[in-house]
Amino acid sequence: MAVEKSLTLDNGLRIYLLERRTTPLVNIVAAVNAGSKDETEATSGAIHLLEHYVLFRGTEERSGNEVARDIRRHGAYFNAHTGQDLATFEMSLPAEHAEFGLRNQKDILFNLKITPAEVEAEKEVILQEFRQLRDDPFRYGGALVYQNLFPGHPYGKPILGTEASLKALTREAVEGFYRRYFVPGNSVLAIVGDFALAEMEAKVKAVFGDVPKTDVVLTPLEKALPPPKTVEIEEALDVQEGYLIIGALGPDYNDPDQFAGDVLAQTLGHGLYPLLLKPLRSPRNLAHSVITTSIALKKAGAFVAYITLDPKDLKAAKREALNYLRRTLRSENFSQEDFIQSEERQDAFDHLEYAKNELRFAVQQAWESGLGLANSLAQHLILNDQGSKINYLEEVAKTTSSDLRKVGAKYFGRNEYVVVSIVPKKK
Amino acid sequence: MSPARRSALAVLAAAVFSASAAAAVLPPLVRTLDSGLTVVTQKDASSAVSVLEILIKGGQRSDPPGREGLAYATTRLSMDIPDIGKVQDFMAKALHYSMTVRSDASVIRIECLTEFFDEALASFVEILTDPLINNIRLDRIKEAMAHQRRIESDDAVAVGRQAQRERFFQGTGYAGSIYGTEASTKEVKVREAKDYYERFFTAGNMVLVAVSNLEEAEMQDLLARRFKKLRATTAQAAPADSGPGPVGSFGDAPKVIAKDTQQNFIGAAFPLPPATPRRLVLSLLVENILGRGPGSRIWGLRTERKLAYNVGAAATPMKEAGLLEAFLETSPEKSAEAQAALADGLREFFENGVSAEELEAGKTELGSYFLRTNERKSSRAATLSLFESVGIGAGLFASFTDELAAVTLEETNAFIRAYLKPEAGSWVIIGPKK
Repeated sequence: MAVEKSLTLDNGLRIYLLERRTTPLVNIVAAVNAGSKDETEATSGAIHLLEHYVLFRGTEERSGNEVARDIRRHGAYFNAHTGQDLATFEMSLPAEHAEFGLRNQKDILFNLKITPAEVEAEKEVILQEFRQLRDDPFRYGGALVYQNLFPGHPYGKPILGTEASLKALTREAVEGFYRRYFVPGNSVLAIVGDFALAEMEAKVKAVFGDVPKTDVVLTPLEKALPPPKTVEIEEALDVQEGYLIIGALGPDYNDPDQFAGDVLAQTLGHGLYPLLLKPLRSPRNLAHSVITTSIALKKAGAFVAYITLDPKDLKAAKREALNYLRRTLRSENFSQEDFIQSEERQDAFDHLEYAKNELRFAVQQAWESGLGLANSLAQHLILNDQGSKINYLEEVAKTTSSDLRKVGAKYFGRNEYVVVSIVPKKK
Repeated sequence: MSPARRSALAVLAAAVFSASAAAAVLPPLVRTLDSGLTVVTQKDASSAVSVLEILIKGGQRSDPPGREGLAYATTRLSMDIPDIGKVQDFMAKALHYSMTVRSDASVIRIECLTEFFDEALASFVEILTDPLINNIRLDRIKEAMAHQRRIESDDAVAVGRQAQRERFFQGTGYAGSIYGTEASTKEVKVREAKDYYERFFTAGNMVLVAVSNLEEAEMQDLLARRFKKLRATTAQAAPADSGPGPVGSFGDAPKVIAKDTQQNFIGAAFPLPPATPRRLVLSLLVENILGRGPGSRIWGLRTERKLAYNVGAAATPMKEAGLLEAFLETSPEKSAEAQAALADGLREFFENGVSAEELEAGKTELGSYFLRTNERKSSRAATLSLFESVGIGAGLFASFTDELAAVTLEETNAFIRAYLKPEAGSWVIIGPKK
């Protein structure tokens, strides 16, 4: 019996349904193909403002307070996220209220009422969010990495805009952005949860089928290039720990390097003995912790390492980490098979085997959350260009040590970096 | 590659898996072995992952005065991998293991693919039952704790919430950081860590909570077999009672901690009595109605008053006490207005209570929240072990919905009137000096 289905409505809305009856909840995630990459000088900050506005400021039918009241009454959770490529609007609620969930999503996404007073009110809330960002060293440092990793490319625009651009944003600019991008043909819906596939398909068609079709004109996006030279930024905050964030370009969402890139990120900054800790722990103990992430956007990717350390070790840690990434990684022994001598082989960590098992574990874990699955699927519908299904774990299983060295050399050996240091303010 | 892509590709490649995983999650099975070890298991076929939480009753509450951080240091020592061979072994199996200390218990968590679970557990129990506690290891762990304290102090919300605990529970283990202070950890000696281990790491003082796709009987047998080396105990290692400390009037004067942040953290806290199943449900319900998301009581401080981006409420159950906090973060120039608005909102909540309609919405929302937040095996194991650690038992997990449905308007408002008296509250502000 089929438990999944893809369909496209006449108005262009693409939908993916996945029946999953482990918990009596339905998870509905809409993604709109509009991110900070689509903003201009006049609309800088618009998509993030809309992320807030859609959730809290009301529609042609209901005020923001009425939306909030209805959400609570139906036991629903809702939230939204904005990125460079897209914005997602997620909702999770008891299965018996699935139809309310669908109608609510339709109303807030395609029937928004944008008024000057509500725009100004939400701008004030976002100005508070700007300040909060600066109080979180890793979040702030990570944002600086992304803004400097893609110079001259739309991905380099700040996702929240700037305080100045937000203040200058007009209701008309927000409305224009909304009318252009928040249309069915530029949006997708992923629904995962406790429902019968045929019944949910009928409900979705009944609810979303009458949203008018609107032509979408999208601006083509080029692949992002790495920064021409390494960018170093130092910021002083009221912190006691030191925070070092290193970013480098990585494979994009549709790049064949994605699998080796994912394995590489695991070996560098996860598990009991992350490889990036090797140069930072010996001969001197220069770091307390390291974690690496790999982010895949549609036309670029990024590896970002987050390191905590004693502020006095920052300079040495930066030098050792960059030296390792630039020079040693391309010849690293990732697997026990890389060692010729049997004694060496016996003592060596098998980072490759670890990473493959770690990714199998992560894939299994992903099955546990209906909302997480719906979010992933909605993003995939927007970002995927490859069409056909890929067996992720089979591709990961094929990855060799040699592949990791090649990907390491390609992204860390030849390219420049963005390095952000967050240090304590001088007393 | 982002986790989103990884999940999406996994689903698209193997959607048929969800058909085989279409079984509802079963209630937890609780058994006490002859050794006194309590074993809680729950089968969940949604993934081929097993999660085990090892609960050692005691926690922060068991730290002796002047030795704050002892529970943390000893628990870290008890899971410290002794040799490179085991590190390799655990790494190859992608074993995740971590620990924390809560108010009433230390918790060690192990999670991995179920195919590796038994073998990994065998190696892990060897370490846990015969840990190497010496000066070199203790000093290394003290260094790690100092690092954790620094990270904690860099987070204004964590500092604010910790300050509330300091105020209410001063002089008891519930106060302060799980990492202790520089002075208290300096005083912790190897002998004390060994004594702590001997006293608390015994079968009668520990609870195992496992959530796995394995059959429950199989998991119960596996855990009984692997943990048979745990020393049995007849005398419970009961930590000294804490109680909510000097609960009383703090007046209107907030505790102010200077920190050069962009935003001020403003929080009000109210002491709650020791957790019981009904009190826990009531405190979560009041937390929900007061400050959990859109439509909650203090949400208007964000949307209508535009005073904050982050507003919320949090209930913390403990064995001997509890806390209910309401907080927000705002810019320094709005700080006074925001504090007054939060105080007004809390006073109005106390004086008028909640309406029948508001209560029903809160119950629906909390019921759905409970399902959603416990969907992941690791979250569910944490909830089950929390219920065990505060003494109300993992059985509440299965009866939570019924307990919630039985809550009446009268008892909700009585709870609010009993515990949210404005004069019982404590205010804390973290932010830049004026």
